[in-house]
Amino acid sequence: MARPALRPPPDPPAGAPLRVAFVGQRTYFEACALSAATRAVLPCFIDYRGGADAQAMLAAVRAQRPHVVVVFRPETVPAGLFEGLEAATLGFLTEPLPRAGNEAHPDLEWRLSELVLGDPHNFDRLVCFDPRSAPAADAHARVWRSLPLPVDDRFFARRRPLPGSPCVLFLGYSTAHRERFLMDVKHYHDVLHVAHGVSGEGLLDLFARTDVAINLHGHPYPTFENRVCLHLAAGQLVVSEPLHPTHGLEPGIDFLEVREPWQLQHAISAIRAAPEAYETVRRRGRRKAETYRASRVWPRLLSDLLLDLRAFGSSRTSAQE
Amino acid sequence: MAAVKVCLLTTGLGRSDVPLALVDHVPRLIAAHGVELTVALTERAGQDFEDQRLAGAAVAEVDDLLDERFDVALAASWRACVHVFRVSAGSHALYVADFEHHRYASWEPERIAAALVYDLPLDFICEARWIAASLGELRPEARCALAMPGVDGAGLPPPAPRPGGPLRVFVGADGAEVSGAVLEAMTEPHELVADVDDADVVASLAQSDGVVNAAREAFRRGATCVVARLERHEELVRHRWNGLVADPDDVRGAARWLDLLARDHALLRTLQTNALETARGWPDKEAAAAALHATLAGFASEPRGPGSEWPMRLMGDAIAHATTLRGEVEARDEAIRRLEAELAAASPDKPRRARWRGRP
Repeated sequence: MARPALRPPPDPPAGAPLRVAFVGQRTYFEACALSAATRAVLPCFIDYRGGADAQAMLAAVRAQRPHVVVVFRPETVPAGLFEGLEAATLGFLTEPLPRAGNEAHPDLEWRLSELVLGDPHNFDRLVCFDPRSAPAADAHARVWRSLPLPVDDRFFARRRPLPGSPCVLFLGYSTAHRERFLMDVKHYHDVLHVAHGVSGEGLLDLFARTDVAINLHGHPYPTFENRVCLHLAAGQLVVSEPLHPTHGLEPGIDFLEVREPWQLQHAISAIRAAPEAYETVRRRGRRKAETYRASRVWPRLLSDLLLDLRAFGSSRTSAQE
Repeated sequence: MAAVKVCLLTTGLGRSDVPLALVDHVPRLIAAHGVELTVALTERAGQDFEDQRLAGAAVAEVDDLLDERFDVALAASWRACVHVFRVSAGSHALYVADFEHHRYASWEPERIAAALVYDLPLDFICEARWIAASLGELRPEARCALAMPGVDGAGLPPPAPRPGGPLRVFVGADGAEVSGAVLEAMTEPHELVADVDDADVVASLAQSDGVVNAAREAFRRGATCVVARLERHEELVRHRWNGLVADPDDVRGAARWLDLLARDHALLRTLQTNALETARGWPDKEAAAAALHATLAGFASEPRGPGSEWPMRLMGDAIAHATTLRGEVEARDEAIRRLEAELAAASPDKPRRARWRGRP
C-alpha cells in the first residue's frame, strides 16, 4: 500500500536553534556528530547499535523533542520505528556499497545485504558518504546527497609542528589487506596499531600523542574512510591508500598517497628521516579539514534538509497525517 | 610620489601567460598611476599581443633588461620565476592567481618546480583572500598582499523572470564536464544558455583550487551560482544567501539544488538579488588598480621583514615532492616488471625483447 505523503515537520521558532538528536554507535559516530551547541543546533547523542533495544532508543529520542533526528547506519533501525515521530529524519549511510562497473567484493555484497534489511520509510532523506555507492542504495531507497562524515569540533587540534621523531599511528581493525601493507612498515618502524575500542577522550588523547597517521582500506576496493578527516583535523600528517572519492582532498598536497606496501614503508622511512620536509603537506591537510568541521557542516545540512522537505515533500509515514 | 617602475616577467604575450585580472590592471596602472611598466619575456620571445591591454607597456626580452634597475620585478607565473632574481629590483614578487602546482598530477615533474616558487624569498601579490591566508600560514615571514580583481558594470538587473519557463543555466568553463553531469541528473525543466547574460544561474563545479571567475561573473550579471564547496568560494559565495554550495563529488546534490531553483522562484530571486548586492560591494576596476599600485609602491619603498631573505622551507618541500615523484616512478617500474612477467608467461616461446627498466 502506498504511504501517505508527509507534511513538512514543524520548524523551530525564528532564531531558535534546531534540536537535533544524533543516533548511532557511540564508539564510531560520536566523533562525527556535534557535541557542543551552536547558535543553530542544540545537539544530543543517543547511543544505539543494530540489535540493541530500539524502543529504548526511540524513547530517548522522543524525550529530546527533536526537530531533526540523524541516524548513522539507518539500516539498523527496525521497520516502522519512526512512524508517527514528529521530526524530520535523516539517515546517514556510512558503509561502502558495490559500485557499478567495479569487481564485486564479498564485503560490499554483505554490506548491501545489511542495507536492504532496513526500512527506507523510516527516513525523509538519506545521505551517503560515497556518491559512487549511491546507485546501489537507490534500488532500496533513493539517496538525496553525498558528503563525507563531518568531524566534531573537539577533534580539531591546534597547529603544532612535527617533532623530530614523529610517532606513527594506524587506527583500525586488522584485515588481510591491511596487514599486507603493515607487515613491512611495522617491521622497520615503530607503528602504534590501535585496532578497537578507542573513542571520545581516549581518541583525543591518542591523537595528541601521535603525529603521522596511516589510512588503509579494509579490503582491496576503492573507498573513502572517515578517519582520514579525523586525522587531518587532529593535525596529523596522513599517509593513505588512494581515496575514492577524494571529497576535495588532493593527493601529494593535502596527504601522501601510497598504492603498494613497499611505498608505505618508503613513505614512513622518508617522513621519519626528515619530518620537517612534510610540514607543508601536513599544514595543507589541516587547513582542508576545516571543510569537514561539524559546526559548519551540520547546521547547513540540516537547514538544507528542512528546505528540501518543504519543496519536495517526503514519502515517510507520519503522525501528522 | 615617484612613478613606480615595474618589470613584469612573463613567459609570453598569450592569454595563458598572464593572469586575466593582472592584464586587466595594466592600462590603469599606466594611465592613472603613472607606473612605468616593462614586460619582460622569459620564453617564446617575439609573439604578438593576444590581449591589447598589454600593448601599452614596453616589451623586451629579459636578457636585454639586466642592466636596468626596477622598483619591483613581478613574475606572472611559476615559469616566469626562473629569471626573476636576474632582474635588479628593490622587490622581487610573484603574482598568485591560484596555486599553480595543483594543476599538475603527482607524477608530473613540473609540480615540484611549480610548488617551490612559494618557498622563494619573494613578496606575494594574491588575487584572493584565501590564497593570501594560505600563503601567510606557510610563509609567515613573507609579505602577502591582496589585490582583488576589479569589477565593472555591477548593477545590471537580473534577467527578467519567466514564470513557468525552464531554469536557464550557464555552465562555467572550469569543470564543464562535471557541470554537464549535473545537468543530466536534473529532473526539473531547464535550458542550457550560451551567454551568462541570459542565465538565471551559473553552474561552476570545478574541484581544483583557483580563482572564481564564473561565480564572480555570474554575480556581476545578476545571476546566482551553484559551486563546489571549496575554500576559494568561501569569500565570495554565502550558501543560500547569494548562491548555493554543493559538496565536491556530489553530482546528485548539485542537481537537486538546480531542481530546487527551477521550482522555487522566490528563492531564485532572493539569491539573485543578494548576488547583485555582493557584486556591488566589490571594488571597481579603478579602485582595484589603485590598490595594486599601492601594494607595488609599498613593496618598492618598505624594507622586507627579518627572516624573509632565505628560502627556509625550500629544501624541505623539495625533498617531500621528490619523494612523492620517486614513489610514482618506482610504482610504474614495478607495474612494467609485472606486465613483462605476465607477457613472458603468456608466450614463453617468443624471443624476449630487451627489457626497459624505467631508468636511463
